[in-house]
Amino acid sequence: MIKASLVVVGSGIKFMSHLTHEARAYIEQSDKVLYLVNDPAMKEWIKKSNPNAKSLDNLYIKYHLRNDCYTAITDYILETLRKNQHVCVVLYGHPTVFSKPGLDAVLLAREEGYYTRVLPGISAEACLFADLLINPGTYGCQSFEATDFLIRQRRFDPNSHLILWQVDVIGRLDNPQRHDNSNGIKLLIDYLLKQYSVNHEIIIYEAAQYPGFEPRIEKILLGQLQNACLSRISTLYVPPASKTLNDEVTLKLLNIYE
Amino acid sequence: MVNVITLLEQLATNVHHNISVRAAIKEQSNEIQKAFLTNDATLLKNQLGCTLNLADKTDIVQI
Repeated sequence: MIKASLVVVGSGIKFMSHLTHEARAYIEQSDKVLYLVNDPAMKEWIKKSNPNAKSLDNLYIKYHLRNDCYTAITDYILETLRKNQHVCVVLYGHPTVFSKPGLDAVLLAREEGYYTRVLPGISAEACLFADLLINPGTYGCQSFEATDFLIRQRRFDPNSHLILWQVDVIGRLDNPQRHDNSNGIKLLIDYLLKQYSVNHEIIIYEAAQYPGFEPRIEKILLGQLQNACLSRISTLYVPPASKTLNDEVTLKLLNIYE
Repeated sequence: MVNVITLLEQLATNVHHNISVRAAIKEQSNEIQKAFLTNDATLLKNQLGCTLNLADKTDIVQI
């Protein structure tokens, strides 16, 4: 039998509704559970399900820079694992989608020879596809963290689906309770206007976090984004601008005939 | 009165045509009922005693 392991699980977005059977089993049966979730109800449920559960919240708020917080969380996970026990880490959503500390811990633990696994959870992106009735395979889909999108001037196809994450904290490397995001949004609008018209319809999306609640789906024009109300969990969806034409030469090379 | 966590578990484990949200919340406090009826998750979190800086973001751009 393996004496120590690290399993990182996602709790999904909607409380309990998105928790998989295998994630639940690891939460209930591991020697130690560490959790970093954005929902007080899920915190209570985890504490009730395993008496050896410990919140990572104190590390999340301990340092000024978020990167330092995540490094501290990764270190703490590894420290707990090195006590030779079965450790389950619970992160909300999908544990490796726009989430750093769990993935880093698994990579380092694997280097040290520990048994590790990541169990998928329902991500905000999966909710977005369902709620906005989008098939990412239809036009292709690009997904960027908003600050990364701007500072690297990411090249993208405006005829594909475009999803931008963390639009409410553009340019912030710390963990602000409140901040003025207007400069970041202005830069984002200017960058998007190079590819889309000011009247291009976009959607501010927030997945439902609780059963019985509805997702937030707010359609606005790109030109109205500056005055839109964004929250920490808002995601921006930009639909394709137009349809991409087939390349006739490639069609012939593939023996595809319209 | 059913605990809010229990209420959420009940809602999560029943499909919409087997449970009425309005009926399920009728014994809850006015604030919790308001959270459901106005779709205000922040209000519900406040009612759950959420005062901590929650981990809304777990990723950051690497400079």
